[in-house]
Amino acid sequence: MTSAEDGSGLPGVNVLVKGTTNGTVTDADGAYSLEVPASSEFLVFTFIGLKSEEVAIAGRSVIDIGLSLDVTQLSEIVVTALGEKREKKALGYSVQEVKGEKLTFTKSLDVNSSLAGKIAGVQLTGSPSSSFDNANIVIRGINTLSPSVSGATGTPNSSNPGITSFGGTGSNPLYVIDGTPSDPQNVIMDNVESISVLKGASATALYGNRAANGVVVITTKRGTRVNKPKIELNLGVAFENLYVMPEYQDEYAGGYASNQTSPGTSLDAEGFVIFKYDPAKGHPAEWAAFDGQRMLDYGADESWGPKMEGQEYRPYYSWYAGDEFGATTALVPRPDNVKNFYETGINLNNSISISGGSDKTDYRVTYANQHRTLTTPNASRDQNQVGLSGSHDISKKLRVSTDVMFTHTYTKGKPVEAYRNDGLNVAQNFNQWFQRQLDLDRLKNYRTPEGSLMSWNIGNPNGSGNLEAIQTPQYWDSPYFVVRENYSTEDRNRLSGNLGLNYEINDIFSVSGYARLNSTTASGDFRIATGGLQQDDYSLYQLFDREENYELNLNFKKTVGDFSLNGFVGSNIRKNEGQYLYNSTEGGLSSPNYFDIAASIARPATSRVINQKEVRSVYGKVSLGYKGYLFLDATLRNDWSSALPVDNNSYMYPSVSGSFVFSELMNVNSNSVLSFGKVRASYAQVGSDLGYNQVYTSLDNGSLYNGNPSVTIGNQYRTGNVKPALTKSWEVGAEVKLFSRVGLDFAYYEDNNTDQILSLDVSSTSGYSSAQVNAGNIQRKGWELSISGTPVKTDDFSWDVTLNLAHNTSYVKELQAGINTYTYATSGDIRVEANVGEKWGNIYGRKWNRNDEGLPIFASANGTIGYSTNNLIGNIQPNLTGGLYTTLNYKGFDLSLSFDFQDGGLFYGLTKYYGVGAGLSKYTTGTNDLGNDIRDFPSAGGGVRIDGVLGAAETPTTVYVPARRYYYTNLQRESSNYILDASYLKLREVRLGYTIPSSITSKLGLTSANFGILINNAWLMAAPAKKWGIDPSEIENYWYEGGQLSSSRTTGFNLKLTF
Amino acid sequence: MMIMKKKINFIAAFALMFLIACDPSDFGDLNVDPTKVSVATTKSLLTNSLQSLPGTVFGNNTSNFYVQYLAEGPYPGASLYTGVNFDWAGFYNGPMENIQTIIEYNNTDNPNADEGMNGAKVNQIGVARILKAYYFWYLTDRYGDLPYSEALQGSLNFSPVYDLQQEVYYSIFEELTEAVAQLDESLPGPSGDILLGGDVARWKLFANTIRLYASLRLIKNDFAKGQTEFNAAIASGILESNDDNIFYEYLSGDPNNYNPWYTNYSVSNRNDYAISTTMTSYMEPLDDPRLKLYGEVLPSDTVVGLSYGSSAARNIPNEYSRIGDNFRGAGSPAAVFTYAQTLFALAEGAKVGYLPGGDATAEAYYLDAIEQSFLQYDVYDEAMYDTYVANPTVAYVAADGLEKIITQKWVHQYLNGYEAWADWRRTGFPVLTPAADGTIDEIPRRQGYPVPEKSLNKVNYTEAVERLGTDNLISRIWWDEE
Repeated sequence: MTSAEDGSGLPGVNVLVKGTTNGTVTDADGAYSLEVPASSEFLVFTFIGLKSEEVAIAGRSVIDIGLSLDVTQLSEIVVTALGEKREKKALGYSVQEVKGEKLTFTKSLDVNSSLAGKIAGVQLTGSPSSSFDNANIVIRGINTLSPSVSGATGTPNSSNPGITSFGGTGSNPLYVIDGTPSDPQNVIMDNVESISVLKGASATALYGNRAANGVVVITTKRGTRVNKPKIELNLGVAFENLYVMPEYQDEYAGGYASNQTSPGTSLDAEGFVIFKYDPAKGHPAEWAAFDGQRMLDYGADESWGPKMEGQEYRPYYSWYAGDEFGATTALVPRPDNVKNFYETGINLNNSISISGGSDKTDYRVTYANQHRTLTTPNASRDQNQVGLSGSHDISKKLRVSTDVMFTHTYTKGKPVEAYRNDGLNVAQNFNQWFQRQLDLDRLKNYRTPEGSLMSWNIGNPNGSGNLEAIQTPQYWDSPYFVVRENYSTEDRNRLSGNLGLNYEINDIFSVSGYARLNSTTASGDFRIATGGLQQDDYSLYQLFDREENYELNLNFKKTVGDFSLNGFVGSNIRKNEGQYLYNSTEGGLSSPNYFDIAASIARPATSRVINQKEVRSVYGKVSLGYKGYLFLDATLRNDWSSALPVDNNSYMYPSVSGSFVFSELMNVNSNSVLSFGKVRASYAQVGSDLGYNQVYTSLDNGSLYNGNPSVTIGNQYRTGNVKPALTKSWEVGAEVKLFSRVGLDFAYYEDNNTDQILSLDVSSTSGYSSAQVNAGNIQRKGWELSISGTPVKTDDFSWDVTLNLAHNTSYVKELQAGINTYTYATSGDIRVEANVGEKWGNIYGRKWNRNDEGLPIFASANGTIGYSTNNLIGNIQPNLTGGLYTTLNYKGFDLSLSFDFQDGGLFYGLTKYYGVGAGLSKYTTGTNDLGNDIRDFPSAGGGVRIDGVLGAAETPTTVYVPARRYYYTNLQRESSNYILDASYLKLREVRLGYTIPSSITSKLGLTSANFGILINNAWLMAAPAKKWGIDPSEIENYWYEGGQLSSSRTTGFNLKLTF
Repeated sequence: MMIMKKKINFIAAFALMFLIACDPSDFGDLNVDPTKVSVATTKSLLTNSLQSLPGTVFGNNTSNFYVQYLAEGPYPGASLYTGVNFDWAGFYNGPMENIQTIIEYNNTDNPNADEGMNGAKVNQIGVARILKAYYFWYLTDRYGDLPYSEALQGSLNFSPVYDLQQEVYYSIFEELTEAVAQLDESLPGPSGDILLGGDVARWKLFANTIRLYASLRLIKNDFAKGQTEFNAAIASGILESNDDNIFYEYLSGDPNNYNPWYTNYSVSNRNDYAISTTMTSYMEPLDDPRLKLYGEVLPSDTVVGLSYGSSAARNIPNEYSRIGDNFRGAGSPAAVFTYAQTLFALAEGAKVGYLPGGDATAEAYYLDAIEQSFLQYDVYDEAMYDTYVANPTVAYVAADGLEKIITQKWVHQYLNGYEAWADWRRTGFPVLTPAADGTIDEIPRRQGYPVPEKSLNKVNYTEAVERLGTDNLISRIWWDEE
């Protein structure tokens, strides 16, 4: 029994021998069996929302049929908690589902970015398109005091950029693939049948607290029980190019000249550094000829130098031995220097699947392969995936089923991100600390003939005659050296799967049992080559992370008169176990480029992290229906968690929800304005536990000193008897369909995360910086609206469109008596706080001192401005998020577009902070009111004009300050310059496809063929941060951008063939 | 109803099945992490507490900017007084909490304080009390009033009151006196003592030196108390030669215990700091033999200072002198207390009347201090020394006695920014010009309380700030009287 729309199996379809009461109901996959008396002629298939069918038996033993939608009913089947397929109309809470083809129409490489804009209330965070990291999603905003964004299987290690550290699922939702809690990276994208997002606590009550951030339920395609095997081939090739970059200035070269008010002793009037021959400094006699030559301030990693007008000067490479030693060249702009560093990434993405079955069996096997290189050189990833799913009826009552996915990924040269002082993030180099005139091509060969490294960032020849000393880089190696020789590798294997048995006891009861496994093993390393700025280093790690779930459910269903009853009681045992082992060299490598721990000069650093947890649960659910329009669901769950104190480790929580399909009581037909209407309400509690080994105050190792152990008392005070906590939430909603064309789904919710186990900040003078308490109330309130419709539908042309909008505000209602603030994050004087009584996520920073008229108060006559700290700048939560996706079909052509947007919310952008501070941005050039370049020396009429007041008397004063002093020193003292609006509107996906007519495909032996042109991350249409080179939809966490990779756009082709 | 009953029966049946299988709340040792140390012996807490100690006298850039030992190159910031609020959590949560735990373990006969493994109880407690006094002394000099009497009590008090600095000082003097009396040289010293090797006699010197230096802070506003403590410290025993100097040894073979300047310059390859012209322009005209140790010698065979206090960016390598090699080797030690410092303290004591003898005694101590400084840095040459002290800039003059003493002390305790800053605040010497491009137009006189205190310990914080005036860089703390 399948849906005629998409071929998926339909559960719960009534099958009746016409004219009798002899009948059955299809199972979860749409299969059924029925003993039919020989005299019977017809079977009647009925299902709410679908057109009833009457089928002649005609002596057949297998009758497969497809039911199509009845537009007067228009019900949907969605996958809910624990993989249960439910009629959407029976649900008392919000679930939104996206079908596979809507998700992957541009062959997205990961689940999360494919959801962007497609589910109301889902916000995409983290990780640029130009990296290998998958994006993260946040469902319904912040629901804890201290949310963290991290990958599902680990976060980058802060001290070792290429190394993944262990654990931490942050504020990610729970991902469930075919019933098995798993990682989104395990999904074979071409295999996705649908994704349901369970948002609120009611939807997630059955998964326990691990679902507090929502659940993403991924259902993969399965074989159908038809004899003819189906072969699907999905071939893709795409090219990835640099997209959003900062708007650089191409007028001024590297240097610090414009922090001077007038030419200095070594600077000429144009801002060049002049070489002064001085034997006392060790200059060789032959350098006398260089006297008076113009140079740049090579060591400056900023671009406040002289104007580029073709003047002859000594480039950095003229200080390296060789033909060009001593030669001058013309100082000219290189507008494409950074762009040319990046490459065109190649993305090959292919899969083949074979599916089919017989009357007792179905199967689907898939192999998928991805090869991807990035815009950053030397970065590549190869991924191979194998998937198998199937089921078999051992007997009429006993069915066995399985889903297995194996993923192997080898990654090399994953780009280093975030602000760092070790020079390993090349994007930070280009966008924050750089000299604009540099010709990067010259640095491709970054080794001198003698084998030492070349850098543009050399020392000042005026200080020394020792070439080796001059050539020692100040802060930066050649970016080519960085990406080619300092890189990570990782080999990761993921296995996820389940084995299930289902036994039908009788018409009412069935028992199902599942063993589920999700396992990751990985090993990786990171190397820093010998000879660069950083001490040579090698580190490696190995990890495994495994989750096992054993579940046993007794299911029941019964219809009595107008009442239907179904549900289950069950139990589950979840075991998590993981280990992470990390080693790194200390004090350098004993031989050049000897990359092994054995090369460590000092005692190597080693650490091991263990994570283990077991949660035992019993739970039950009952769903009651009345006449197909009134529904009531109730769940109850009890958990025992190993992570809680033994006396407090059991906790129980209920949920209840109901829905009322009022249109069933109206005389709805295909001409009615209102074709469907439902209201719903739910209330739920969810219990929560702790992380591993967090019951007692920790003891932490310090650094061993000469064999003396060093131990410190942990900074979080723990009583040892923390209790499990409950989140309470309620939600109301309505679903309406108009003219059978337009559907509206609205939800309003409120969560009160009360009495949670929080790490509250306490005065450090107590000896602890935080205390583990049961306290607080973090409240979420919001609404979601989803409108979908088919404005036009004719035989040749159809247009579908879905719009999602969501608003969430998270408030800090309460912390603990006497405590009103929690500091979420800091960066210098920028701070993000949770303040009681206010919206979570206030961001604080510096403000200029201003007088009553708003004029800046100078700290001194030279034009620097004083400032105060701890000023509220705004809040980081967005006002509105959402998206729109639409598909137009005309004859064989299809055009799909998806947009997503965010309105409001602030973030701190370091790429702007330093991009402006270092004079790289286009917006640091121009002329002042005197008509002179602001970068000219103020003594020559240049400088940035500031009108302010000076001294206690507040004397009005106008100062022309040197450009760097304005853009670096002054602007950095007013944080609002760098706390940016995160709003954006993005056309994320475009696909233009053509389905080859069946008249042609059938001649080729094909069932169908579709060719598509795709663009992913197509166009950042509007964003205040765009001109600073930042794509706000890709910032690394909720509030901070530390030097992200420039985003990329992917353009490609896709061919789908079905045999 | 029938159905509901059935449901309940099934839940019960299932729960029963589950419970029969095991006691669901028993997980054995599953929640015990084998990678974590399970006990904190007092010796390991002491080692950890001492690892924070050199940071108070060495390696800190902020205080070295205040007294202009150093200047910033390409990215001027801290030297322009951009930092206003400074966190003290690293001390309260770290060494101080550990020291408090050592005392508690000893007082409660906790097996972690076992005498056989950790040293005699009286000595464990005595050393812990001295260290606790030391850290509080260091912190109160930075901030003024602070939580002391109610601090470090964990859950018993998450919002400790701010004690008056005067009370903190008095209590520190008392603690040091009692601790010295308690220490017993005939019993085993504390284990894990990576500073003084468990030498109880040396800990007495350490305690008395704190008392001696701390008493000089009281000259302006509590002379009598200062004089009493000063003389009591001397009577109890202070450093008597360079052999008594207390150094913290960094470990050249252990990156986790490297000298912090080595880590900054040589491991991280930063080139952010150079010796300032304030130092070089004082020392160079005197041909001060210490200058070539203090600053890197450039190819021109000179030490070139970087001018202090400008927002202009400048690159340092080859042009300006970084910190000298013998302060930034991987294993170069940090001077905690030196004999020459003590002699300068005695000179000042004589000059201000803590000690009898007036200028003559002051001058004798002063000259001895300079000599011992030269000896300490291994640059002593009699003829050169004679020339040096004869130079009018250096030669003692009664009218400028205090300025001479403190200025030479400033030169001697190079890179111990906090001690030099305390000296500057209480005497005004050496004479320094505030950073030209500073965010304020004077040199800081204290540091702002940690930002979180304002909200986490609001009542007590507010009270302390009311006493202070404004929680900024220029309000004066108790002993810093105008």
